Amino acid sequence: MARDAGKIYALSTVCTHLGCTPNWLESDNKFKCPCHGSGFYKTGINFEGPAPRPLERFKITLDDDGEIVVDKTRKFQQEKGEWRDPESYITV
Amino acid sequence: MGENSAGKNGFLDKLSRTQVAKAIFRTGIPRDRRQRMMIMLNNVFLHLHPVRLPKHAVRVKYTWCMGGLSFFVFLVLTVTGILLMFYYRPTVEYAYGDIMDLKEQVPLGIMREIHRWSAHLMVITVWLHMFRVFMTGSYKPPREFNWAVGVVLLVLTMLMSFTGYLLPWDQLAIWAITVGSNMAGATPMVGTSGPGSSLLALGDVNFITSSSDARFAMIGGRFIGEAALLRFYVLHCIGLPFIIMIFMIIHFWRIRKDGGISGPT
Ligand code: HEM
Ligand code: FES
Repeated sequence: MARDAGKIYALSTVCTHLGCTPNWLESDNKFKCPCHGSGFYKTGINFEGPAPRPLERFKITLDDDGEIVVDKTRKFQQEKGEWRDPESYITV
Repeated sequence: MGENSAGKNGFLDKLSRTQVAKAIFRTGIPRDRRQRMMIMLNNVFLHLHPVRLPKHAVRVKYTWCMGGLSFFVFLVLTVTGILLMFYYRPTVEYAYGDIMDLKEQVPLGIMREIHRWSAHLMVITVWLHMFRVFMTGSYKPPREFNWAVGVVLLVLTMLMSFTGYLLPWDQLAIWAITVGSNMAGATPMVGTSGPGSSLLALGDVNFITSSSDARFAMIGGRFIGEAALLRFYVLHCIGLPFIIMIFMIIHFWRIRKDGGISGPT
């Protein structure tokens, strides 16, 4: 879960290189994959290492009680323009 | 027991004349060239090696003995591997703990270290062997088929290494095999994330999905779990060693049939 520029979104922590788990590094302000060093910004956009595309985002909605619901079966890929889909984030 | 004019009459000579020794070895202690030759021909293990060799064939500078060392390390791996099988259980519950116990508690648990170091060593010796075969031009006719057999042996060696890597079930193992198997998922046509996989479809029905592609066949699931561990264990301990031994037999047989070891020209 990340919050950036008035939006909350749920990032998948499966590296788009070969599937390891990138960790959030507070001091460097980035996600870093331990396997071959791919780096991703808080938004999920890849900026270093072998990862060919940004992290995927999951469907995220607010239910009637105001709780955040993440649906991991729906994925949104930046390179397909899917991050513009209103289901891929909630505004705050 | 008659006097042996050529030799001493020591304990070994007496032993070699007993019926048991004769039944097993046939030839007594070799005293001349012919007998030495007979020893080689009458023993299933010794006869793997030719009776006569050109001088250069035993020069370490020529072969680096890398093929021989690969085979020796393979034997070490076989023996230590069998011992490890008495202890290690390939389940998500026990695998990691068993390895830790082997490292810290179990008598002769050093077998695990020997097995792991030898595994790394075998990959190195096989590559060096291939390098020397290339540098001495020994892949040229009539040995081109044995080079091809060698390539199969190389791939099998790497697969042994890959499948064994998962068995300790630690973080390194799980993520290394995650990465390795995700590569299989990118195989053209038969991997879900590979090019052309969407071509194998009938109308709307895709035949290649994440639960029916090359990666799934390899790890028996969509992520590295119990099924992958068992699959890799069986391949590592039974399947691949069986196949690699068959190819080694062919490899050694072909060295002889291709006219023995190549020579400097
Ligand atoms: C499991 C791995 C392997 C084992 C145990 C093995 C074993 C051997 C042995 C014992 C020899 C006798 C000469 C020497 O020691 O150098 C030999 C020769 C040979 N090997 Fe291998 N080998 C293996 C893999 C390979 C590979 C990867 C290649 C090449 C692709 C290869 C190609 C050859 C050829 C062409 C010869 C004949 C060389 C000559 O006549 O000078 N082998 N191998
Ligand atoms: S799997 Fe993340 S960088 Fe390779």
